[in-house]
Amino acid sequence: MSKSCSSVTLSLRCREISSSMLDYLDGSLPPEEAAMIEEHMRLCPDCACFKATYVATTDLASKAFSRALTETQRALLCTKLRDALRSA
Amino acid sequence: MNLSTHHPPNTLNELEDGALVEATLRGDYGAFEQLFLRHSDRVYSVAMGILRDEAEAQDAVQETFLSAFRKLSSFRQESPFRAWLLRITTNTCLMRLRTRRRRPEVPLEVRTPSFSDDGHFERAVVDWSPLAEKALEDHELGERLRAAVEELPEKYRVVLMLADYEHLSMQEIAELLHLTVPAVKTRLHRARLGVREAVTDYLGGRT
Repeated sequence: MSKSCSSVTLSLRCREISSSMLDYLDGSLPPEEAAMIEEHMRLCPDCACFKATYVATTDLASKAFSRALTETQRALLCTKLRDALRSA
Repeated sequence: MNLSTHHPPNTLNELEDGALVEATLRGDYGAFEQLFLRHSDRVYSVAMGILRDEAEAQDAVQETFLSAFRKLSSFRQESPFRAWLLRITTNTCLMRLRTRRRRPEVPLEVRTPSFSDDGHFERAVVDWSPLAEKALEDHELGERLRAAVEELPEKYRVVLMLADYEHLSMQEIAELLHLTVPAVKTRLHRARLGVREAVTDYLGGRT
């Protein structure tokens, strides 16, 4: 069991850091709450790592959605579109 | 056959979206074709993100551009064409989801980190983030990422796609999906945690 931050007294626990991460990253937390999270992450390697991997996840998710039509698919769709526009 | 009646075909790709819209409205269908070529991959990506089926996503691409053509006179130049097209794409795809005979979606529980009773992480958190960019060259990671995203319940997957692929704000997503901002944030956070867990499984042992 990870006990990175258990040896120091922190007002927030890792579970709360995790659940607040989206709000923390988009700047919507009150300043004092954001400061408490930053203090916790300064002292807790697990939470600092969690933040890093959470941020990296958003970049990876972006790439997971990226698709491209093949040239054949694009050409076919373009032809269908032209035909539909002609009869529009 | 090129239907352009105004701009020479080789100059169309130099025009911005707004100019292409105006040209289309003047009867230059080649200009609309240029809009299609410019935006079709992105529309297809969004359609695949929602529908998870290649054939259906391609149908949705065609339906989206036809709908955009019919509504082109309502496009306001003050907002980006891409954002306007995204709205049509999302509505088209969500409508298809509602009306098609859907593949039964097994309600998967989205994986999240585990915490002990006193609120600490149950296992030490591994920082794999330095590996992430390079690891994308790994075909298997790419496949696992796609699988992790596709396995997300629709309500999480759509929000994740709109936030982290289309980079819409929470407010924009809320308006598009008729949700509250807190609901969007809850779904987005759960989606990100689920994808993060899948990547951690794969990359965590490689640090």
